[in-house]
Amino acid sequence: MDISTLSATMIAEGISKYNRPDAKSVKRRKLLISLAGIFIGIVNGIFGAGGGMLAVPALSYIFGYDDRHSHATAIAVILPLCLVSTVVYALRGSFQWAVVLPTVIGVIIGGVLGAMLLKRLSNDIISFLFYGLMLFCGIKMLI
Amino acid sequence: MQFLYFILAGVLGGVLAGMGMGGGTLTLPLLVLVMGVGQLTAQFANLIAFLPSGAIALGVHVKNGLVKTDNLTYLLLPAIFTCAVASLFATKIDGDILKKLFGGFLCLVAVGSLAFKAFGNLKVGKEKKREKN
Repeated sequence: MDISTLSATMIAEGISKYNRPDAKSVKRRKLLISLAGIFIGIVNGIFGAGGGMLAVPALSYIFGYDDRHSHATAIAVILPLCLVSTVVYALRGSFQWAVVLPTVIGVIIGGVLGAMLLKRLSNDIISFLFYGLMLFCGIKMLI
Repeated sequence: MQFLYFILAGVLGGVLAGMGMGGGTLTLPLLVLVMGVGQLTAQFANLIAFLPSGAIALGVHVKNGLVKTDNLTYLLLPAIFTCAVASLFATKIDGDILKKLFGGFLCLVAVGSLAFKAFGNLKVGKEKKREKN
């Protein structure tokens, strides 16, 4: 075996060792994702929204899922959370009931329209606008 | 007439969510700031609206094999518990405080994402430069 094949095998072995999660890192990931879960639950519970925005980066950072897998899995995370929130809110909250029904109808129609308009916006300028608008809304709500 | 206004507000907010922009994080400020809906009412309406559309989306993703279930329990168990407690908290506190808390959350997410985007792009740019050399 010449030097170049030997070094190639060593490198390949090293990479596979690095990629193969050992028991310790599996445990660490489980701990990390549980901690993320605690935080995601708190945010989604208090605001009834926003859990997905946290779950997507958490999943892709901790498990290295790609964009499509983390988005899909995030829905599996927030759907049960939203169900829990809806039940708790309905049992304990007080609402402007006359507003709830038309808003729900509107949001559902809008959601379908939005999904038909465009799957996902990844353009840099649009996402900067989006976060800029979010910051503006946040400040406006704070004051 | 009021009824139609709220449907329209919902449509506008829902379009943003449907386009994949923050799923509800802009629907809520639109309802609260522009339409004057109470914070908890807006959250409640947004939640109810998400349930059917989220269920449909999840069904499609599961069918396409995009949902990774292997580590889901470790995330979901603590999340469901804290979510229930936090939901109860949300129904107890004053709507105005809830609105301010949400405003603070929006600011944090927006600043964090902008910083990450700027920093991430910088890194990608550097790597591209290196490739050129």
